[in-house]
Amino acid sequence: MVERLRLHFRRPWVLGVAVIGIAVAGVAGAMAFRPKEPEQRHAVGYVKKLRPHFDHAAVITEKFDSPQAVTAKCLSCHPDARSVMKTAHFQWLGNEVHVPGHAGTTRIGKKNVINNFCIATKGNEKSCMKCHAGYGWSDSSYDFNNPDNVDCLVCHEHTGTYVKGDYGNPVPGTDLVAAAKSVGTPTRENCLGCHAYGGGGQGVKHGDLDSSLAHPMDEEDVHMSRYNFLCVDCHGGGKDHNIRGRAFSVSVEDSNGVHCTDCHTKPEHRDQRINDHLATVACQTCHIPTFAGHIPTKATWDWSKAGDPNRKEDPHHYLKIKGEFTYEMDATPEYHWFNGTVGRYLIGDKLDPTKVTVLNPPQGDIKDQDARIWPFRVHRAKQPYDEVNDYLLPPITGGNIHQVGYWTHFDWQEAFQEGSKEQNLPYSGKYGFTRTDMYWPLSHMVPPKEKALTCTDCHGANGRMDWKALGYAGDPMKTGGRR
Amino acid sequence: MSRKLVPSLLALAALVLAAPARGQQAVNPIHPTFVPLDAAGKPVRAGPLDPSKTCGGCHDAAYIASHSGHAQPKITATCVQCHADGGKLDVTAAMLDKDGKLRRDALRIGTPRPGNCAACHGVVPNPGAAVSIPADFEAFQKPGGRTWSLTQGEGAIVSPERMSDSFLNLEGKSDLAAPWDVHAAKLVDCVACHYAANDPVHTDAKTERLQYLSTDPRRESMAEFLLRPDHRLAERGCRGCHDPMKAHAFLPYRARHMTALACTACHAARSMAPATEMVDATVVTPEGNPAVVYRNVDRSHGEAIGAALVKPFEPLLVERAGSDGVKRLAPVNPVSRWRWLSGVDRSEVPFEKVAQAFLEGGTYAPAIVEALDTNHDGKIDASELRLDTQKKVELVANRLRTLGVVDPVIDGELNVYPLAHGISTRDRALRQCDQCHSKDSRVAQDKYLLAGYLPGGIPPRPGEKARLELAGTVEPTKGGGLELRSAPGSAPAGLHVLGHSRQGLTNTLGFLLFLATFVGVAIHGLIRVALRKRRLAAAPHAPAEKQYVFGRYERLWHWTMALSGVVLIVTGLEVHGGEDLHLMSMPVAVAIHNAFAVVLIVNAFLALFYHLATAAIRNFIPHPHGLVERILEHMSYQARGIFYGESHPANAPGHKLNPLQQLTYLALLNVLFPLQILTGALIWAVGQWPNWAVALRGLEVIAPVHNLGAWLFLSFFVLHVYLVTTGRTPSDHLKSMLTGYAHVDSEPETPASDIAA
Repeated sequence: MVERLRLHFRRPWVLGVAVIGIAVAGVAGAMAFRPKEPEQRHAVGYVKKLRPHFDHAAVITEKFDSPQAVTAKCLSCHPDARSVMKTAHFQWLGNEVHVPGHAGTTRIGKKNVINNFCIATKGNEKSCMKCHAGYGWSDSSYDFNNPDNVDCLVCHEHTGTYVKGDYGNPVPGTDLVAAAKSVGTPTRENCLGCHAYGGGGQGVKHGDLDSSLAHPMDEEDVHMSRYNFLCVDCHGGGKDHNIRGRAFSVSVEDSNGVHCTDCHTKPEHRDQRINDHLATVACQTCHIPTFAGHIPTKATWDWSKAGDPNRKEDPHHYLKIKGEFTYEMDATPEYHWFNGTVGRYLIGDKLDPTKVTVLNPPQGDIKDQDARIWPFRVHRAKQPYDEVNDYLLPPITGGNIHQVGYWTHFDWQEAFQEGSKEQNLPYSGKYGFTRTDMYWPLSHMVPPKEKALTCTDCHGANGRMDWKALGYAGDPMKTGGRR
Repeated sequence: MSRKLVPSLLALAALVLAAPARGQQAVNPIHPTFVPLDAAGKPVRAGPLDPSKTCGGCHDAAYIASHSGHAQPKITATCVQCHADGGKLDVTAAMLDKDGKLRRDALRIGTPRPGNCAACHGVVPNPGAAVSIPADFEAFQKPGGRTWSLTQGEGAIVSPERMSDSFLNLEGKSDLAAPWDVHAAKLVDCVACHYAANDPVHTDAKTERLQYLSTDPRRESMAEFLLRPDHRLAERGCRGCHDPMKAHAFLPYRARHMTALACTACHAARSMAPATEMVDATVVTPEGNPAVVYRNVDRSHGEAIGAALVKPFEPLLVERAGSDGVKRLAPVNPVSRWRWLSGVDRSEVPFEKVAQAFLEGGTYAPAIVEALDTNHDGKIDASELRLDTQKKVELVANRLRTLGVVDPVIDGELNVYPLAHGISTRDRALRQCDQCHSKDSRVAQDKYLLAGYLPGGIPPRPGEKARLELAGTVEPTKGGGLELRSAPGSAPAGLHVLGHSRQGLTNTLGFLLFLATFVGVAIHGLIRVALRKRRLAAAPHAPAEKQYVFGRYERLWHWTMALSGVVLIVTGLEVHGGEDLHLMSMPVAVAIHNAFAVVLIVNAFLALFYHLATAAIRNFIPHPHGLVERILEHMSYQARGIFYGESHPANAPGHKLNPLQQLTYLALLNVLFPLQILTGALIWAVGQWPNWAVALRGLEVIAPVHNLGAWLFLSFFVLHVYLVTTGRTPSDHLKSMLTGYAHVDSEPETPASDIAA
């Protein structure tokens, strides 16, 4: 009896477990058959956490007599930082690539391409190298193998007082010690210092990068305002100073690029009709409805008008050294097929002066399954060309240590003769001006989703798409997609 | 800038920026060019053309006129108004070619665009145009002329624009990223639903249908249609395109909701456009308009409607037949209008006359100010601009008489506008269960204001359009207006809305029973506690031995039953109380309730099988011999002996349960259990197969019975738990149901014990 009693006294937990099991099964059953709430989709899990950076104030003790001495000091502790010497930020050249329409492969970059803003850097090192991440690039004999020539501070200093002047050297009187003590992860201001001011001023080149990104409001850039992103949160590749991202003004291919889908791994929208667009429309097309929202960007540049001493100067309309401009603000992009690669006009390429020459034509069309409809900011210019040889001329404008150029003498002939010599390009002595376009795909300044385009922005009577030009029979809402 | 200037400047800005109705119609690439004709059939070189002569040259104008909702005696829409760009086609020489035909690029005609419809029906801007309130929004609406019925009546603005981008002053505007009208935003325009009745593109355009045919191929050809288009426009309801059963996965009892509710009940539940409550054309505002009161606008005196704060508009839900003929709860807006009538034929006094009676040179006449300015500040503000005494009515009537109006009287009319347009995205739809399943349910506003005041004390008579009955009674309000009242806890169409509806009799009865049980055991327990010492002194516990009385399975089914019972009561209260308990959301409560109902039913049947198979069922069946005596004995023990420590009366030989328990369980297992299971299953079935609801007279019969059963069950539960404490010690019985061992009095002739409850 005692034995049985003990046996049964030990058992109550079995009963408890059984009843708890039934309870769990009941709740699980209820949850399984509960009506489903739609899934939440958001890339918020990718929001970056900023790391505090080691305070360098304690380790910077000496005075520096040259900026190169700062670099030497940096490298004494960070020998691996020499990796930056291989990057485009220092080399101003990319990897070996095949340029569509040209034989073989070549390395192209800011060092050797021609654009329709300030045209070419070669021979104009005095001004252009303000944005070179190095010191003292004054002519083509520059030593790219001297590690001390690297400018660490332009990307890493946080005082905000460090300004680069002629040939990429800091302006005289710069407090190098304070700058060196302040170093850390590149801030927005470090990147924007060059990337927002390229082409000689705020908003000249990019329609989607300007100084407003330092402290944007929600409707300007949702990543950098609401989620407090730094540029390097998307563009930082991690090792070896590899900064990800491609500017299609100087690159032709999309390797090492940054894509929305890197973080927005599930970009599906709640409406399946919108998801059906993903095969033909880039994220940017709807999510960047306009560009240059708060600071105007240069739309046209007419070099042929330069040199008139009688015109009133105004950086947004006319400058004697540069010619005539127009600016646009809160502008509607142009839409073209784009497969992530562009063609490229290279120095010496023949052109038809009666037609518009596109310096970096976006590749892809309606039949290209890799191509999507992208939003572009298009910069239209009239720039000099050789009337006999039919190619674009790279003038000396700002000059370098050997010569002064057009901006001093206002003499086109001298500018072209010297400029052509720099590039080993024969100059016939007869110049004219021809129309050129540059296409800049938009990827920055993404506003919150509430500002994205909706159906009627593209479809229907007042849509912004030129369906015929894109290769459609009509509005694909009615005539069907491209497949 | 003065305070008065700001709103007027805003209004001016809205006026200037509001895009005119242009570019609605593109150049028609295929319509043949034609010679515009005047009424005499002569070619027009300049000026307006005559639509019936010009268009009637090819299209059968007589057929169209006799088959058109837009050609009633009161309404005179022309071809040009609906089909030409901007509703106008004024010929100029530049538009004509050498043959006198309209040039192709002047041929901006085609299917009516939203702007064409908007010219009469409401605020319907063209795509790309910012939404603003038009300047003549509050102007007197002549019958047959321009109305703003879509906006003023329904609270709809038909525009693809995001509400946050509009020129209206909306509550919470920065978060209103949804478009005014999701259909406009997705390029579904007016004619997508309101198409010509014989348009061969639409397969449902034919009214006669054979059950076995999904479509009828014998349709008019496009040419026949273009010759004689039937302009009695279709009213394709939501269900014409949408299948609500293929969406709404989040919604419990989907089918039931779709049977009881019109789509608009949830999807037109908080429009942000100004919806009218009443239009009082018996008075005149300083701007020369009737006084308009909105349901959802906070407006200070003299403020332009475009500047006043617009809040979400909560419509009235009534039972109404949809376009498919099925009656469902649908939102409507009752709008009352008052105006002056005159003469024997009670014809309308032109509003210009009324304006003359009030205004002299743009300001109120001194006599009007004197009579209406009740606070004597020399001005007439919004609350004073009303004819609320006979004296004021007489004054205005006399002034009208001097203007030549014969026998002026005030007339009021109540029209009901069903909400069908201006549906925003699903994010703007009602989603929270407690919006309906709660005491303050939207399905039955206890009070819904019909009019804030009655001009001239005249109640509005139902207008031609008020084709539906408003549930409830119309009662006067304190402020001299009218409101619609319904009894608390009721819903239109006799619907039983879980969490809201309270069927008085069963609910009160059940609650009283529960209360009585609770009070009873509380008193019984208090007496036991009070007499505890005396009882122990009088009769210490007799020596007892532990005996194994509850087998493992008996304990398992008991505790499973207890668990599922408690969960059912808690979740049931949650559903009944309509999330007022705030333990869990309603869908979760419903899901858990259903799951544990299954647990309870399965457990009950397994236990029944066990008791039948092992013959343990005998414990539950009272021994007939001496039953009455034993019942009395036990009752007397519970009423008296238990307090004094008397020993428990014996059960019938071989029975675990005492006769009171046996009777209780017989009732519980044979009546209450089946009743709850049956009614519960029916409530579930009504949700699953809504047609059953009709056959079973709906939830309004079943739900109260289930509700009463729940109260009975809850009362039993209280009693049961209390009786558990009546063992040798308060926890004695509880332990025995956990371990299986119970104290059994040592007298050998009493084999079973007083196992409680």
